[in-house]
Amino acid sequence: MKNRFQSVLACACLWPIALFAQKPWSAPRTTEGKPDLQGIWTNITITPLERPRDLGDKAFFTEQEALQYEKQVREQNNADRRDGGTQADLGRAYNDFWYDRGTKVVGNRRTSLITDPPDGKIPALTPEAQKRQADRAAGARGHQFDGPENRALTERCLVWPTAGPPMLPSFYNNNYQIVQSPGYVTILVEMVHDVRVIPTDGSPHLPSNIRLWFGDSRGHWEGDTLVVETTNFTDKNSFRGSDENFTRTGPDTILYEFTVNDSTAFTKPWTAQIPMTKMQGPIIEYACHEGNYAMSGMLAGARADEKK
Amino acid sequence: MRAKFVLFLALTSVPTWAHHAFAQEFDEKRPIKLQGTVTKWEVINPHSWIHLDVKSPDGKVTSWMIEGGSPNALFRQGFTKDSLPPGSEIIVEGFQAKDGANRGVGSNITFKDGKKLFLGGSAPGAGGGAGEN
Repeated sequence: MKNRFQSVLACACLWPIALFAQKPWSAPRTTEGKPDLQGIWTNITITPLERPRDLGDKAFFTEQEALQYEKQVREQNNADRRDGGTQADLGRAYNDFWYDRGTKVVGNRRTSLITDPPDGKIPALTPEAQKRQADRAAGARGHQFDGPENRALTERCLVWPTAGPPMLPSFYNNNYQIVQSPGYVTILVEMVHDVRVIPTDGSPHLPSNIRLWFGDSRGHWEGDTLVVETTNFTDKNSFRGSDENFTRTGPDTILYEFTVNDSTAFTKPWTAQIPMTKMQGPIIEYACHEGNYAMSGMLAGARADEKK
Repeated sequence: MRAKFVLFLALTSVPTWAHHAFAQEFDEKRPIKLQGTVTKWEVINPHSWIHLDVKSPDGKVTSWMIEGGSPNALFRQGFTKDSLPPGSEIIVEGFQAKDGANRGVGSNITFKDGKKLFLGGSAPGAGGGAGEN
């Protein structure tokens, strides 16, 4: 009797402590019991992919330095500047009104999105990749404005780095919608209305002779992290392959991490982390091609230059 | 043709990277300063276009179109298609198309009274006027 009373008393005393004790956050689950990554997310940030040269070895800003950097970038992007001549004025035509590049560095104040190598920079290209790049540049010289096919994929409304993979933030519309269903994780990329369908059903990659613009992605769960491996890229796109990790780290955050491991292109693998933050939807359609007056404008400009 | 992986390197300096080569479309040797009345705002991707009628001193009216940014981002800042209604009078400083067409990019756009039409990060004012600093 005495023991039972004592244990009841002990429990009653512990209740208030239990109420205030921090329950470790864990991700909500889908009906399949997997972490729920669903929602509308943005990976917008002013933190650059590579560490700015003048920061040397500095991997993280202090709080004060981060605020200073944010202020500097904001002012730089929105300055009404007439210095620099007309060519510079033309190049700087747009400020943050037309762009949506963000105003904040990443939450942990890292000075680059790249976490490895430690210098925060993309490793050197292999000699083979350098030669490929040089050959392409040589082939393109004098032909950059022959026609739409000679222009960048972004200018042609085909593909932006926003879709990747890996998925990198850009000038604007850095927005994604993630949907999970049995056997699939699907990512709608606003820029340029692409959908990445990632089977998580254990099915194998496509045969190596089938090449896709976004590659062939297959996902699996390692603990609470979705690991996505992408292969079978066509050489029409700039990307060749990376492994991506998606981990829900809080009610409003996903940690997105990718590693580029292409030994034919880079002398070392490299890794970057880009936080994704929940945002108010909806994803807005980015119909592009039919409104692309800029393409005809650029080609007309090239024809006008040739007449000079 | 873009060299492979050039995209990665270019993205490291997004703030200074000229957006899709304005210099290819527009001529830095053809600066323009136009005052006109908005007739239409094409709120489309990849870029919106402000159409305006510009009246010259002799009464002749010329139609111009001025390039803007992606409407998706504008909507999220609170702009609606009524934010720049037809009839608004604006002044555009910028550069004209290389081929001489009545097309331009505006590096500075204001209302007649000098109030800036568009400024980075500003939310629009009430009643159809755009935000100011």
